[in-house]
Amino acid sequence: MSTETQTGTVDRGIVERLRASPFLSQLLSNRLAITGIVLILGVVLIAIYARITYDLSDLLATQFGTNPSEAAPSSEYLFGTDGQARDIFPRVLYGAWYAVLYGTVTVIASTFLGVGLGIVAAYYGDLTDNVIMRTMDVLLSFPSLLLALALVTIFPEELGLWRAVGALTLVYTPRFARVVRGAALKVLEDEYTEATKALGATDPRLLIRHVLPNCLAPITVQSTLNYGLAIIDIAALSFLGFGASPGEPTWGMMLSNGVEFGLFSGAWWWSFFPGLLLALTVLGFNLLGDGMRDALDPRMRETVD
Amino acid sequence: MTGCATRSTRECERPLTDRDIRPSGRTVGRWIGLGGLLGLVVAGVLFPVTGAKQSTDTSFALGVLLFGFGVATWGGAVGFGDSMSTVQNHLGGESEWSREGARQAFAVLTWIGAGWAGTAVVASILLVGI
Amino acid sequence: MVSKRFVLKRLLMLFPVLFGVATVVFAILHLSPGDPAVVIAGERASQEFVNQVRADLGLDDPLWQQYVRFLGEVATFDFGQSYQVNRGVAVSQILTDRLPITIELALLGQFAGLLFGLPLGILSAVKQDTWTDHLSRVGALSGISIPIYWSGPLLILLFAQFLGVLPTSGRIGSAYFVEPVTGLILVDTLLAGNLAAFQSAVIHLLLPVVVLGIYQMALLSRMMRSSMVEVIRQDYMRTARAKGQGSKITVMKHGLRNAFIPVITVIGIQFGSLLGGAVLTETVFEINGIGTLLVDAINRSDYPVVQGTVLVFAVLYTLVNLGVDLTYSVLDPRIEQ
Repeated sequence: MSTETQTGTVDRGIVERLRASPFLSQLLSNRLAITGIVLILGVVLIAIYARITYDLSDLLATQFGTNPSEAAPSSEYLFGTDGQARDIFPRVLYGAWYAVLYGTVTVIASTFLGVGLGIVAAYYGDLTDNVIMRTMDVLLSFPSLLLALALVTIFPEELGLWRAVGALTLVYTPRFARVVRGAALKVLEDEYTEATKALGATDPRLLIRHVLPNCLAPITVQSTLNYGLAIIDIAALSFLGFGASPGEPTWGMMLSNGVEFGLFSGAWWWSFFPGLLLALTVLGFNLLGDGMRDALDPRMRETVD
Repeated sequence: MTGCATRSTRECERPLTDRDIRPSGRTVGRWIGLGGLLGLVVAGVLFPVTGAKQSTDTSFALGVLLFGFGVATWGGAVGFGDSMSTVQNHLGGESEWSREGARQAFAVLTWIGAGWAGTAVVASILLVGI
Repeated sequence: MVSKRFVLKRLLMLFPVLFGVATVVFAILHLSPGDPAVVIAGERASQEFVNQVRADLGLDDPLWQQYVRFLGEVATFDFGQSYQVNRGVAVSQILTDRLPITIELALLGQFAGLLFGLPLGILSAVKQDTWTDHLSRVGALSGISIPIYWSGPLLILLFAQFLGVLPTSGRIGSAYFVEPVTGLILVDTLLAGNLAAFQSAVIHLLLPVVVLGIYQMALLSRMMRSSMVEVIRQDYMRTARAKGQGSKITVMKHGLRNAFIPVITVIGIQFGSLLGGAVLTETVFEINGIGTLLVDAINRSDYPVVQGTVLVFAVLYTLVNLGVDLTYSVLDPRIEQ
């Protein structure tokens, strides 16, 4: 795999500089976290490569006549072909692009919502804080998949996989809100911030100048932890039939078709390879996320989900 | 608010569950009023776009959504509030879940939702009829 | 001990919770863009027919009137008839038929998860930072990272396709017919005294339970480990040992009790992800529980079925958390009753 080449070429100077920071040196001495980084880099490279190399319409079209249908993996068809005689290899690579794209949008969108809610809760305090955060607490204690199933119905069907993105954005927002509120409170309670207030800084400036930069570290950790979850949940929703349209090369859709049509006729490769890449990607994010959490606060407890 | 770095309750020696700020009759009225206002605003904004029935229906659905969420979580907080704090600790530490605080927060949501749904019903009766 | 009043007070709270959940589901379904009248009439039906259906269902009435009617129906456990999934069949009937199937699967999965997850977590904590610990932690992380809809097909491939020792789908061989009494297939086959059918049911359920159990095991062992590590780190454990208070085993027992308290609470919340897992497991193994029912109903805009199923999920979730709360108050005497 292309991931192998990554580790050898890292510039020595960068490594030295990174090691100077306690958080990063902790993280970089964690072999599991490094494995996670390598896995993630590999998937991102695959995603970019697939996006540049392949034409989506070629991957969508059935290939009867050109390719054999349900052919086993061979040197010609590395991952075999599916029931529509499509070569599975480029489709699985393209699936990485979908996973990275939709995963990124989900995480970024829920970060934005979470930052907004968290800062508002921390800044106004009292009842506003209580109402926002208790609502977040409750949403957080629901299982993400069931909550997403309920929310996915709000979005019109034409949106395709963006429905799943919308639902999961709402599902993950509480995690970010909680982290941001915690960080924002610490900043707001600093005397230093009070001094800024006394100098006449307006509220938006106060928030942007001081609160946001200080939230970046916890937001990054939370994003990493959520990335894997987002990818696995998006695939689950598309596996259950919410989102991806038939034939679209997302991992969840390929898995769903492979299980439904391929598994019992012996075409195991149809569902095996999309699942393998999915599991490796999620494992990568989980390894890195765990490592980050350990480096940030070794006593922090492991979360549910 | 002397001694308060922010308007947050943390540094103020005043817990969220203070008797004084628990909703009494007057504050409940305020929340219902706020909800009612929201119900009118939503129905009013949608009215030119979707017409009388659709706009009041949507406003009612949103109000009743908030109301239902408030009631369900209020019941949950009163019934199972103790184990929730352990759960919240496990979920990531920064939560300040308390049974009383949660009960109060969800009561507020319930009242806002009730007011919202209430005005939507009134608007529906006036604009659409029974 | 837990007093009756304490239990009763908590049971009473079920009513607002369910009333609220029913209301939320009603609101969400009416905010969603799907039109049940079109679904029932069919995509190609004429506009007049769709309008007719809409009028018949009372969907033309103001929403608040529909809500009042809906509450009346819910209060009498009448969710109406299915539009699509089992057209014309009462939703309550579908739910009674299918609920035991999911309960059986979930209970067995939870049991398997506890059976392997807790010892693994304890072992990991006691042997902290040894190879055993690392191995079980990576194992648990993999268990969380591998989605059920991949591990399921993998196991089907291995045991059903290649080895041919286990069946691929369903709950029992098609040759057997067992009178449903409890709806739990393992219990029903035993009640009927049909050992061959029981055996068939066991081998059919083995893979789904393992798939669901792996996931639970991974989650539980991670939680058990962190909770146990916390307890071991605490002072009183060291003090107890320093005082020479009994053998190492009694100290461990004392620690275990404390380590279990947070884990048990989280099991209640975890039950939700167990239900989520059951939805996926049922889909993979073609088991007709309420998990597949929910997915089908949402996919096909079958509103009455969605409403009924979500309520049943909410009841299950709330009841489990009630049980957990009660266990918790028994274990932790600090909770006032």
